[in-house]
Amino acid sequence: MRLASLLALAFLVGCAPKSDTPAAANSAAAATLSGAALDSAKAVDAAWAAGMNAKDTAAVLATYADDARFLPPDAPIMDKSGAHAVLAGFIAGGASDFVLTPTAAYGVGDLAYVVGTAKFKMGAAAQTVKYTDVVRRGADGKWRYVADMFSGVEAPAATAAAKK
Amino acid sequence: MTSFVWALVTSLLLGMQVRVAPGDDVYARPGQIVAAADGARLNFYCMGSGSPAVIFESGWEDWAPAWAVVQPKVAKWTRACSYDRAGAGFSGAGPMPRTSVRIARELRSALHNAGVVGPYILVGHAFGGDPVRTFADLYTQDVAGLVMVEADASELEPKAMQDSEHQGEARYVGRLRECRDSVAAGKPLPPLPARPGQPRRTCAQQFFRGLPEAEWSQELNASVLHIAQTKVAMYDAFMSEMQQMAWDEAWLLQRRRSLGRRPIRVLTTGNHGVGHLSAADAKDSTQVEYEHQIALAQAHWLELSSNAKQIPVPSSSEYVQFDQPDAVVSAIREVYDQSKEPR
Repeated sequence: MRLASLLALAFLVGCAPKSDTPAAANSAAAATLSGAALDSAKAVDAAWAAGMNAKDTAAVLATYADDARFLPPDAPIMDKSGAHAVLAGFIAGGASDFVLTPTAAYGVGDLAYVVGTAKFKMGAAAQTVKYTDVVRRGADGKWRYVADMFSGVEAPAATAAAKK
Repeated sequence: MTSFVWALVTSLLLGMQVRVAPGDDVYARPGQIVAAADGARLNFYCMGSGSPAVIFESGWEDWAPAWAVVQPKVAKWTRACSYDRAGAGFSGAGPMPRTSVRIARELRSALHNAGVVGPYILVGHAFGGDPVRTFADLYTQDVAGLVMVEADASELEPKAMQDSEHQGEARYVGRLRECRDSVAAGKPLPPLPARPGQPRRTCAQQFFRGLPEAEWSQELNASVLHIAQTKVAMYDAFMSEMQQMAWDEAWLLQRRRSLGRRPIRVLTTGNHGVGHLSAADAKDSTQVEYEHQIALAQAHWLELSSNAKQIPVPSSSEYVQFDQPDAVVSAIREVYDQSKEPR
């Protein structure tokens, strides 16, 4: 079983786009990330928020690896182009003033996860969502999202009503 | 000549400095007349060299002089062409009706006939955004990027706003027809609504953001006003353009083609339909909401490209190319630089 997993992992790494190939893909041992390295990984969130607040799709999409998966609430798994459509739609819907606050992070080698909350405005209304991101360090040393999943922090109205 | 005295006096009263775009007299005369495939003879002003060429598309009731400040700056580093749509300025009348599809086709064939090869960076102001987006949809491979200058995004606005705008457009066409008929008959032109402390104007001064334009030389102002006072075909063209706007918007709504990674820059002022900014003209809550909805509608263009950016220019009227020309030049330069990267 372990051998099969390793073979599968080797295959997947071999298939990854060059620009997004993990920097330490060939290293024998992956070390737990230091605090400074984790800060670099978490900085992707700040870059994402800056891009959204600048209404700049290139800046936002630069935070995603080409093979990234985007997992918005109540929707299918999407690729990077799906993320573009959803996030541009967010901006056109009036979303602004994003502030992302990582609350937990851990990483090994060139992979890390970040958990946090995102506050933003939708028109005049303040919104909060929670998110889990997986970020990967590319051969160029830059961290990018390979998975971005988020959802609300409150129960949907319909669910709440059904409980009554 | 009287109008220039008034312009000077008005500007001094307002504490403004009259700025004259050097060399704008080129727009006071016909440039290169080029035939489009449908027979329309379009007037072009091309200057500079380089590729991609930048093509300027003016707003409704505007023509090439709208770019008199910006175009020479862009021409310092690439080919830059402005033109008069069929019927407007020094261009001949074109076939009716004046849809954005027809305008885009005429523009492309005329560019080819003029030897201006693509790909093009298209710059659309206000209504000029409609033919620019139409061109980008019809001839995507000819497009290197877009710059939308406080451009109309009517079909992306809430339905109630669209309906209200189309009702207003119908009324406006009626007033334009009245002016057109007076020009055709050689009768005195109907007056525009009076403005406190300012000289009376006729309907021929409704073009651009109201004539005379302080950013132009006297010669250019005189030329533009003369055209407005005499050219019946221009009124016919602008009436038709406005009558076709709903059709244009429906067409665009059905044809929202991705431009891939082609750069798009969207300049948003929050002052759509405002010709001159004035501290005295504070917006009421209805106007604030109107401008907010337009900004959101313009943000939908971010969906068309993975390299799109909405740039706020709140210190400008709708005429960014006059009030903040460097913001327009900077956006064009950004698109120019990034359009050279692989798509």
